[in-house]
Amino acid sequence: MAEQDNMPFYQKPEWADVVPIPQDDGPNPLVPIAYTKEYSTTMDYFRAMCKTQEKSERALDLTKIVIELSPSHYTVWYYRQQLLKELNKDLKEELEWIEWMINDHPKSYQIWHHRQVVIGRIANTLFPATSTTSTVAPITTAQATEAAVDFDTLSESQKAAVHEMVKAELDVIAESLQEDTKNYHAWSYRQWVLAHFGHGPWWVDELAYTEELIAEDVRNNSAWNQRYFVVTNGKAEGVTEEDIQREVQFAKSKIEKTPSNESPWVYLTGILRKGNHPVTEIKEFCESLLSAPRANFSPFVHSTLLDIYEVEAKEQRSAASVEKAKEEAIMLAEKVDPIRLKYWNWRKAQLQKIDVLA
Amino acid sequence: MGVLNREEDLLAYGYKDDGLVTDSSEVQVETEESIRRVFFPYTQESPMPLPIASIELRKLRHVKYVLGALDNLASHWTALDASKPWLCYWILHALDLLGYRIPERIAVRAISTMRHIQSPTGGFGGGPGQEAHLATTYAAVNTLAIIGTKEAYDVIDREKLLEFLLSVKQKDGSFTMTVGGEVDVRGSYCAMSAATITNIVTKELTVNAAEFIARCQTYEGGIGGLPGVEAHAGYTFCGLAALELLGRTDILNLDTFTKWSSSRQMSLEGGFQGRTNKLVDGCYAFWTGGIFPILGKMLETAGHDSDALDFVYDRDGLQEYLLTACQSKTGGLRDKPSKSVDYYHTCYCLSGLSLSQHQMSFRHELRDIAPGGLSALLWSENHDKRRVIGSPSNVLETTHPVLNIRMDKVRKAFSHFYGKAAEDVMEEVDIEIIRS
Repeated sequence: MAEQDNMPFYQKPEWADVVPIPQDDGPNPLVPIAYTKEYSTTMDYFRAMCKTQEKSERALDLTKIVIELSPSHYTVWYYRQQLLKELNKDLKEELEWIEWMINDHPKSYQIWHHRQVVIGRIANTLFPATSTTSTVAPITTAQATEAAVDFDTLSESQKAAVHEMVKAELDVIAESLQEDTKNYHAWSYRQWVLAHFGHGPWWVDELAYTEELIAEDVRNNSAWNQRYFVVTNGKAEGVTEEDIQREVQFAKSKIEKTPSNESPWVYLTGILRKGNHPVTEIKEFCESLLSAPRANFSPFVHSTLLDIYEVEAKEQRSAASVEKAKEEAIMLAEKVDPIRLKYWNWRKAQLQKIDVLA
Repeated sequence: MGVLNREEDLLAYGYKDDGLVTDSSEVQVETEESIRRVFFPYTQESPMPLPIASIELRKLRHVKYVLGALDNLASHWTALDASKPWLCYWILHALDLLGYRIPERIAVRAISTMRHIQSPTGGFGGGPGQEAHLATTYAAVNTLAIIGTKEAYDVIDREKLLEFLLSVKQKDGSFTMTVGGEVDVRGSYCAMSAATITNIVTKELTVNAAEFIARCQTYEGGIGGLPGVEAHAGYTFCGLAALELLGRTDILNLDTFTKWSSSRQMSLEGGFQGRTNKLVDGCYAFWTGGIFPILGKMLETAGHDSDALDFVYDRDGLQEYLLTACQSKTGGLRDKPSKSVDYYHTCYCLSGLSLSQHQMSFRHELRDIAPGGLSALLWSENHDKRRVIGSPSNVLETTHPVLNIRMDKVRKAFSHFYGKAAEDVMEEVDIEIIRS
């Protein structure tokens, strides 16, 4: 028996009936890869399975072998997804394997997508589609492979089950993010999990999670982006005035610590725009920063002031504001941010076009 | 301008951590140190500064490096076994940009290889027998356009290709990369590029496509892979180029888009980063650098004088970064000095370098005679604005700013797929070029 375990699968009797199909590259192909014998033989058997579209346990086993040899092989992943369905497999077991795969290949499009497909299916069996469109429209319509769950319409026990499932999923993702806090695939999938199950209590926890990550590294822009996502999508009623004010304070407090950090600045102006607040609202805040020695060298203090004075100049048709805006543009172009000289000069040229009172 | 010859000590342009060290600032400062080392011989701080004009793009070595892959790839490249059209495109496009004439024997092999990779359901997979995928379909169509013969174009089953593209199109205007696969903005660009080149764009293919991309523009101003996801230069180029092919760039917030794009150039390094507070990488010379020609066109449409703007970034700085930090002595280009070369980075460092050397601009005055996909023919070089850093022999061939295929190859492909309509537009463009 032990001997058999070490044997390559294709030498085992249960594969004896399969006629392997070699890869047909045609004559003298470009970019031929010197495959190992193990890989090319495995693929020959995989092609044989594909050809007959065999739906069997051994085909399922084979997809696992291929994926572990070549995890970006999307054709194999898709075949596996069909097999899991046809054979009515235990998806919990599948999740454990994916988690292990994520550890080894955290930047694979296919692995994260596979997890999304599997979780979508589990959700669909546990909570048969309660609505066909999610209440959190922004991402679920694009990413959903199964109908989204509408949390509000679930029974109490279902709610508890969903909550537990989402929490477990967010933990798996958090573990991967611990290794690489800016892993794009992990963040994309995280947003899907949050949104797919509707407006559950996990959104509040997620806001705290972003706060934690931002406390660890205030320059982690992925965490700032996630915070924006949570604030603007986390509630059924949408973003409130209270949210905007809280977030403005949050961003300001981070800017005071690291004025040369782009992330909180873009966040602050983004949140103001979202709440239909004018950027001029933070004029005093920015001006007061100028007296702090370090902040005076921050391109973001000056560029935000440029934006503010430009708005003022347009609204009040004020020549004085145009002058102040120009000074900021010159400061940026010549002293603080010379790599963007062309951009700041262009912004300065735009100021000339403002129609001011004589 | 530029990053080598500056008024102050290089350190003055380095990252300001405000006295608070975090993971992000730590890796940034480390990267700057390694870049300063490669910059040093050319700077005023060096005891005998080397002239910037002496910097050479080692074209022959890069040619040799990429040619090697055409015949034999070591077994560790099995990781790209589902990306063969990509390998072909990266290598052939690099050769094209370097001005290496692709020999007949390679063309014949390229055609045969692509024929075996085309899926019976339309489109192209990652290798023979694989399901069709949008990214590899994009790369395969580009590869065949680079070969640029009737035999190459005729490999593409256009009817089936459209069937495949429609099979992955979603109601909300997005595309899944493959049947049952993931959605993201790459799909929109790959689908629109392949459909435009082969002249199979239909209403059904384009409906809601621009609206989906617009939903991916984030509060930062750039575009993310999906609505809600962080702005990223790779997805931003894809989204923007797709919008350009759809004729719908007006759907974006222009102010935040411009600011975000120009903010991606690194202060000390001169190269581009892909996201806020991330590191410089040579490949963003294309993904971020490629934004600017299209952005220039958008600004012109909005009434700005983009000619005076000469792109909204420091062209010298980018070229200096690519030439000093991204070239390997033994051939091939890379992300940054601490990384090794690969075919992907070689292709995109060179594509970005070419776009930075040649200012490509759009002939708005001819828009009316070039409807739909034909408007891709209205890009041409603004010769007065050519800018080549280092040796004059560093100049590369010009690439199409939206399709990233050499200009002459785009024209040839359009002659084939659009016939006389394309030839009429090209004639008008040529007359305009002579006139101006």
